[in-house]
Amino acid sequence: MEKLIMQGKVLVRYMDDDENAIHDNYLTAAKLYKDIDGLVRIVFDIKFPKSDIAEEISVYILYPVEDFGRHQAWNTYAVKLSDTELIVQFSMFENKELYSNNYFVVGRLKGSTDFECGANCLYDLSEPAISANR
Amino acid sequence: METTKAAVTSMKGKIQLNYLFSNPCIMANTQGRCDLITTGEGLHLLRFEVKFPEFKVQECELIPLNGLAFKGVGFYVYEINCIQLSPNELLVGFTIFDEHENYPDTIGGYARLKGTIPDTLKCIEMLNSVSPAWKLKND
Repeated sequence: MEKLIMQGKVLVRYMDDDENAIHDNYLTAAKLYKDIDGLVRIVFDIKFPKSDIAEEISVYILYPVEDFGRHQAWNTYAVKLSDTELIVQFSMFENKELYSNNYFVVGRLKGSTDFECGANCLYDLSEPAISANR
Repeated sequence: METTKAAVTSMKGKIQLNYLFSNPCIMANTQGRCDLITTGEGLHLLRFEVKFPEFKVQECELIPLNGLAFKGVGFYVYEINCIQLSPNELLVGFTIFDEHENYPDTIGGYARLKGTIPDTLKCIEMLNSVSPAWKLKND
């Protein structure tokens, strides 16, 4: 059983093979689901290179990422902007076995931030933004 | 990096750094204050005052370019992300590793800043709000 916990938008950037240039980018809607084991996956449409057809894909963004699905995310980071808003970013390959077609995804979502993301990927920068102690 | 007298502090905020020793084992994380400084030469510096025991980075240069970049002074900074959260608010993400030690130690950082976003700093403006795009489809 999965629960829809967040909705928002993602900016999908397709990188050249050398990862130094953005080949294409676009904005699309995204949804975040959490299952009973606490696993979190993000669902959005993606247009693979040489294809005009958008395909809905699902990417697990918890860290550390195990062998989930075809499109494995890595370098996942999440930033809490508030108790209801989140920035999430990750890299992914279209085909993780071939390390082909590298995408860089960053999104902004609203809903419940009640999920684990691994201590080294979750940043809490909720308000107030300028009150951190020296 | 040495800044010029013409440097301007245009934004202030807080930063969280996660220090990864032999990634993915986290060693520590910390929060502190940070400033976004624009130099007379048009460079954007993120200056912060947080230290880890064996890896001291107090200032890094932000590249005015979105996406994956690869540059630094004495260390490498990559995966820089400048996200405009609102007209006067910025979220900057980056990763740092020491170029002299075969990349064993990594710092992941995020800064949230408020103030005037420099015109010359390129941001992902499409993420300056959740709405209306979060209702793009069938929601």
